[in-house]
Amino acid sequence: LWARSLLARLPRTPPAAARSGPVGPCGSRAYAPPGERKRFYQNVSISQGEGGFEINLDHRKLKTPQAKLFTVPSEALAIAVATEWDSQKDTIKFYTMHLTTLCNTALDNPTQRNKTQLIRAAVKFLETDTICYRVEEPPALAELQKNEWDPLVAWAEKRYDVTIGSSTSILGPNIPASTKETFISHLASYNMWALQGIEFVITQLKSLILSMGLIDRHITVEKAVLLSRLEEEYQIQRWGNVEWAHDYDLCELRARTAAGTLFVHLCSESSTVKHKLLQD
Amino acid sequence: MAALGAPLRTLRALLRELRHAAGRPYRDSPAYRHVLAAFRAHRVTSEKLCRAQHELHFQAATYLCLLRSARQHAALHREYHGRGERSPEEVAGLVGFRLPQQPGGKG
Repeated sequence: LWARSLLARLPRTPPAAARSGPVGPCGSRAYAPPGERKRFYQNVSISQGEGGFEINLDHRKLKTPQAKLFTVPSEALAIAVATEWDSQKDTIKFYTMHLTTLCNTALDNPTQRNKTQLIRAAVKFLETDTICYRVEEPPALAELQKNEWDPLVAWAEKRYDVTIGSSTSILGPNIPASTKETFISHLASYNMWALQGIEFVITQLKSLILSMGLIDRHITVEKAVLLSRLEEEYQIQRWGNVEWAHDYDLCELRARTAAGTLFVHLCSESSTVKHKLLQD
Repeated sequence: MAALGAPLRTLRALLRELRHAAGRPYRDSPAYRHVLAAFRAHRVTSEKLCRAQHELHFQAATYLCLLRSARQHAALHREYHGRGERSPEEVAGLVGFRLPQQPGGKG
């Protein structure tokens, strides 16, 4: 959806080579599937404006789907977004440009949620957190869940001084109100941009605890995705792997989770390098 | 603490991914220069458990994961989902079958 709106917003001054239909009769034209667009710019660069860092595609400034000027607060984030745009070859594959999409969401806030609503949505996930929701059958999977997920729950309980637990009931674990309060006030310490990222990661991984594990740098993205997909991995081990489905989903989830995590960290730190006292 | 491995390994892999991502002059690309500058800046430290070092390494590993899996996902998409309709022969081939050949065409 964002891809199509973004296309509508960019100024329509097609360079000579860019004009083409999606299916050309001659073999020399590459097939550009619907939802993609040919790369229409040569150079991608960054500049610093009043509101932050901006992305330039040739001489044009990048805009959001809602036609706002695309500005980001962090230079490192701007560089990463510029790299996304620069790495597009013949066609622009919007579905691979996760950082751009996250920035657009932060700038446009299309779901019109304020900070409180975002936090509430994030913490609500705890009630159906993947790693708290256990099976009893088959025993091998139940054992795997216990061995892989219990340490994460224990880590979160210790780190945040809360009670979470796990459950095999269909209703899920019973999360005490005090636990929710703790997470609500912890998340309140993040700014709006970072919160968009956090909520994104939670919806991708279907787990608040795994997301906090990532945000707190306790586990890597690969590990978090593995733990999120534990049952899938178990079934794959049993029944075999189907590349065009399993690997496809795995890579997509990894890319999105990595983008979300990086986005959160880049939006919640100061980018100045702290020099040691020894250096002048 | 996240199991990250050697920072040098992450850096090398990350630079390799950036080489794929950027165009021809990859060494001058902003991302390449930024990553190298960040690693160099954090090299000068005497503490073993320097928190900033770990944060940088985690960020680099995360970015590496992003670039790598985005590239793999795009390749899989191109391979399996980007080619429009397949012929019956191709579809059969996907699950390991071959269409029967009958002399004189199908009955």
